[in-house]
Amino acid sequence: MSRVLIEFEGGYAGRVAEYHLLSEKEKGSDINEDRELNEILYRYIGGRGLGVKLLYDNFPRGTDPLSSDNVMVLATGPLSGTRSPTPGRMTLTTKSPLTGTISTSNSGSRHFSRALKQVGFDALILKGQASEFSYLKISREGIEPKSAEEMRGMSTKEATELLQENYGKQAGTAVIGPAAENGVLFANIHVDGMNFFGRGGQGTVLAQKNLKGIVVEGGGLTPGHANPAKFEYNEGTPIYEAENRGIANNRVTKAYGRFGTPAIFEPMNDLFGALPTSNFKKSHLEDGDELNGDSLNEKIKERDCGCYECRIACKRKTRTNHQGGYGPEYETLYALGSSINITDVKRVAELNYLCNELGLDTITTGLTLACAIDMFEDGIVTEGDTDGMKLSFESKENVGELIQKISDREGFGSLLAKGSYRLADHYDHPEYSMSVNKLELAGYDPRVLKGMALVFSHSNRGACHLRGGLTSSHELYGSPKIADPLTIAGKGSLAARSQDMNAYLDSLVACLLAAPGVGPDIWARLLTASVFSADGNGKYTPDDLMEVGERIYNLERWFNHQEGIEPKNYRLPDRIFKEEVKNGPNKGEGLTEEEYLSMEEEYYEVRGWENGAPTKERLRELKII
Amino acid sequence: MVQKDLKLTEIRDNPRQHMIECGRILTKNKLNNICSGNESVVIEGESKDPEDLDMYITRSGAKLGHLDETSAIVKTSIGKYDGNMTLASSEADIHKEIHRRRLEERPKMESTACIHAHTLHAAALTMKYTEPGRKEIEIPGIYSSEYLEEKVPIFLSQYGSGAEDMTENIPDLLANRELALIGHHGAFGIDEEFGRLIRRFMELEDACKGIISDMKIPKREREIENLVPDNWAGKYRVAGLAGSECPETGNLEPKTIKTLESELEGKEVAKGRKRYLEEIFSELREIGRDISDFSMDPFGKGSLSRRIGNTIYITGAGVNFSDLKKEDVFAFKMGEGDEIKPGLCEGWLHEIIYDNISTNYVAHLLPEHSTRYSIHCGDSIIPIDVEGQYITKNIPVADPRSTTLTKENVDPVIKGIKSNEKIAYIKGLGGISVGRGVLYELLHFLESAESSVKMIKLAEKIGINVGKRQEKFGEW
Repeated sequence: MSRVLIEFEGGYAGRVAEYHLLSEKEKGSDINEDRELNEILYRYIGGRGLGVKLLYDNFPRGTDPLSSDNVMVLATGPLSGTRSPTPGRMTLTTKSPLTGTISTSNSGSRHFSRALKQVGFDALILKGQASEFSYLKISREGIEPKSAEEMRGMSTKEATELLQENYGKQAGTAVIGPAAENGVLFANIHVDGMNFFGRGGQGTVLAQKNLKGIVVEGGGLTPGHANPAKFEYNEGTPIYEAENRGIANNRVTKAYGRFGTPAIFEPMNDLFGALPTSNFKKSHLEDGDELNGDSLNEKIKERDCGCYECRIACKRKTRTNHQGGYGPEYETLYALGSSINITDVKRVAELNYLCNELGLDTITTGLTLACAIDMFEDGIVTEGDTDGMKLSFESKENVGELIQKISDREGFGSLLAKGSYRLADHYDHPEYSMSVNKLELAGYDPRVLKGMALVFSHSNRGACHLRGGLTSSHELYGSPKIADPLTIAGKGSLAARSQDMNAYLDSLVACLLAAPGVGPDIWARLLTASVFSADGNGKYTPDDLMEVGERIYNLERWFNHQEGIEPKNYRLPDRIFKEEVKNGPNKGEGLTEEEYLSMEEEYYEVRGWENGAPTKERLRELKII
Repeated sequence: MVQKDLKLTEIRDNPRQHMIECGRILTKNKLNNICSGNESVVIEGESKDPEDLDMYITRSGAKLGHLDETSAIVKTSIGKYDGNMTLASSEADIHKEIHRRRLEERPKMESTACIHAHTLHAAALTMKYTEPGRKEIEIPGIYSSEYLEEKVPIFLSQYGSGAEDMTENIPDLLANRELALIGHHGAFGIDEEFGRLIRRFMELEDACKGIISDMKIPKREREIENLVPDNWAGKYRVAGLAGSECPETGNLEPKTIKTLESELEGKEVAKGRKRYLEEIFSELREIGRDISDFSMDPFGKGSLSRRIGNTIYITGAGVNFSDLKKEDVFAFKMGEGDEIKPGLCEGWLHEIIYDNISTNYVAHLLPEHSTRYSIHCGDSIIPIDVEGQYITKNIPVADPRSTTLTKENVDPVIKGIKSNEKIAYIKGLGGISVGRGVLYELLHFLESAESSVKMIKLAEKIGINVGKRQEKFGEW
């Protein structure tokens, strides 16, 4: 990938814009008219890559994430909103108020990503702070702030419905709930009433910018691909390979279609005993069958649904006796289920609906509650701290009340609203927080799925499963390739490679759930056909995509380094090293710190990093600086 | 030779253990390849409805000889497609249907045990049929035995493994019988427990071996064999190894895993690092044993390696794979391959493969049949069996135009491996396989190639026009 691109012939909408919320002014560059922009797109593609690059170039070093100087970058990619295997996705990048690291979120959507491209934007950089509480209306006419006073305090559901009422059901919507308005550090942004920009408080940053949300009035044509024949479903075309071999006939992706992400729950709990339970005190949930994909389908599913034109359709419209909504996803079954020892799928679903409407990240919410319960059971937190409530993994009646308190930042909820790390640290017991860089671990026990230890610790946004989540697919499903979950050798390479793959997928923008069946060769062919015509002026190879992924990962790490995130911050909680797995099929399995350090040594070697950060030489090799 | 009195753990007492023991026996008796085949068990439960019954089945890619490994056996159910099915063998649907049909036909059965194994000789005998549909093999009286029926049914799929027509036909054939063959592939069997079923598989293979050995060796096969030079295994070499005509000239003596371990004594990270090195060694040792048990490198000229980061761990030249030791495994950095002293290992060859192909493992073995075959087979080996075709339709055979492989003539080898990123042969010098996941996957590729060649040779013996059959597979 040595050459510099001359011209893109498809895929992109055409414009990367910057919008100042205070001055209400937009400026930007058009693709193919700005050589520097074209070079950036060639090296970073779109979505997360583009978002990270634009944030890095526009972010004043050392800025407080909750100051008006923080920057948000909303970005789509060549495959977003167009004919592609999972076209409903886009990303949002900013500096996180929860972790202090870079934070990119890849969200699906039913309308938003398509609509944004229809109105001509590939990326939108938001700067400054609106002078009054408002939402942004984006259309072909441009970007227009609108008063949101009447939406203040509205739930995400109410706000979405109001915008859809005003702008139509086909409009793309992204809104925050009361949790973000109240300054909860892990508030999400609800997209099109079904998906989320989550993990790390993206909603909190939007609220700080005095924005309730964004609505995009799309319509008209979406940008076409440069080589449309490659996107016709005929044998031999990359889209056929992706959708037929990669999705329709891949056993892992098929399972996501059948059960949604809860497909993972049963093997995680039954076969591997890697389902974190009761704040990682256990790794197997007794009565776990109540929470698996089968149980969800049987007891609460209304229908399958998916993001825009998605060939997987992993979402679940659900209903309990009293309420309805979307989900829960696997991570929520873990965070609001096994982590706090709730085994009733309907109860988890209702707690999930509550978090969704308040705009709370369910993983951080669940793990913060688990941390609080854990400390309460050990006598560190008392009824005097909890407004008189008793907390226990055995009796969980007050979980709903606590979630409401978090959103309202009321009483003990005000402390919980800062996430598990600040909560535990407040009591001088940070070891109770199952987090890395202040972001809570997702639902994979790294003492069993050992590659996930590196994925969590060296995720650039805190302990996230989506920064190198393909590692778990290798270890759990043997897909795309088999990796023994219990071994440590080779996991540094696996984690780094998975992180790079996730980074380019987030830049196309594609869905991670397609990745077990759709490999880099097919994505490279799709991307090439999207942006270049048959006899066009460039070509992406699988190695190019991996290089893009590596470039993104290094730039993110460099951003964190410059924001003062030190190597020692990329560290798993002590419980992982000090306690063995207490129950389940892998009872007795453990991961010592020494073993972890061996894995980390390999990881650093593969990355070519010194002292836990990319060297200037490495950054130059990757054409980052 | 049929092994009598197989004593297995009672299937109803511990179905998992019963499966583990069955897998070991199947593998030990070479009734199956190391890395293929599958088993399942259903135990009668409280409900009499087969749909409600649990099914234990081997995981996709599990080695039948090592089913005691974590999660090698998956519990699912006959009636449902649950989350665990994602991990089950790709032939789980056929197993479910076989159990379901059997239990419908014989509702009083308290358990059912099903095996799919790649029985070489039985599969070879099915080669005489080419048209899809149901056929049968007659077992002559001389080979009749306690558990074998006079006729064994065969189903020839229109497509291949896992095809819909197989899911319909095999369970139907097994509703009232214990054995059925899948054309050009292997056998399925069902019984109340594995002990009797394994004996049945053994008797089937013995009978089929006998039937084939009674056939005359055709002239053509003898002519082909004459193309292989005398002492061929001693003629072909990799540069740098002992006795090579073209030794490399480096002076580097890489450290072994044993040396690396001893250097860790007293260091803070020793415990973690030791486990790390131990895992690298254990994987090589375990596959080494399989290589030895299955005679996959009878001349002792092969090598295995793993790349982690910039380090390559490689077995030394002429090691005893049946009992690999830590001093047999060298570690060197990428870029040092050319510097290694002659006679130690095939470092340069593995390094050049890692340099050109994105892979974590390289295996170079010289299985006898396929290596001999590579000398006269032209520029590719085209499998005529279903498993071989499934792995790759065409195994490239590189011709370095010399009996010594050096950096100067290695390009065709690299090109061959790159063409499918799985496996290629070098004329007279064995097969090289590559992979990213686990080492045994590479052994699976080579073992499958060796089986495919055995199948080709058996087919020749049966009088089948292999060339025509290869053309037919090309149409798939």
